[in-house]
Amino acid sequence: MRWQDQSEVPALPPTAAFLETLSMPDAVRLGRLGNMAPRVVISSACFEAMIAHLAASRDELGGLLVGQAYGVDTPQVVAVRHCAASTAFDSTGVSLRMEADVWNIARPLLGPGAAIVGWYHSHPDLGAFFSDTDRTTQRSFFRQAFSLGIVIDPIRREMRAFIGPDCVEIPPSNMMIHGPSTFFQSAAE
Amino acid sequence: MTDVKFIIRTADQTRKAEVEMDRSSMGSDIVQAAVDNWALPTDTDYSLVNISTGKSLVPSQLLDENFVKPGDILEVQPVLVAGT
Repeated sequence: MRWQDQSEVPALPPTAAFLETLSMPDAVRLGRLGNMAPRVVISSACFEAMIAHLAASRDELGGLLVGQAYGVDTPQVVAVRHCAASTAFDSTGVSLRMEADVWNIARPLLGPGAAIVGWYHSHPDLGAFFSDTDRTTQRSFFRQAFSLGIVIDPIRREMRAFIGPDCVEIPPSNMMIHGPSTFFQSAAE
Repeated sequence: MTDVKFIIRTADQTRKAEVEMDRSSMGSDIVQAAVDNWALPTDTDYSLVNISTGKSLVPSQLLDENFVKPGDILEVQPVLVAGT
């Protein structure tokens, strides 16, 4: 067997490329958070789809996140534009196994400027946090510096996001929903 | 047996390799090679999909011409687990 690795570290577009897509007030708002942690901007359509998906069951559900990360040396903005819901899974109220077909569901959403930027799942009435199992999955298969893991408790209406293989929590103030009217709001509000 | 040259990548498309393997190799050999070369977790279930044809390759599937042609792209897809 001959194995020739061709992996490349993806070069992220500069944050300015994302800011240019926003209105001036929104761009200023995004930069005025008072901390240097990455910003997570979820499209309102994606956010609503995730919530509708995860609220459909009191057992855990999940899927993949598709979007684009921005930032020259480190990710400064992760824009989440689509979610791909897992349709083949085994789950209980405290566990979830998403079969590999979820990757096939996400693939048509990928392309120039659209990559797998993370995954999401629910903790129904357990609170939004990253368990040891969640951290292992993040560390194993979402290893990019921009890789997101979003946990939502649709019953308690909680959401937390963690970034990178070390699962660093994103401050709630840095999580925003971007609607068609370009109105921003903190996802924690 | 002849060799076949194809592309293997991870499901998130962040890792890619050009691989040449004997056609007597099986799907499980490809997954094992990906696990070994990319230090993927060994305690995970993986699926192998030929993206070029849309067909899944079961672990015992030989790399014959019906399943893998030169230049095809194969994807190693992990099962994802979460739990509290």
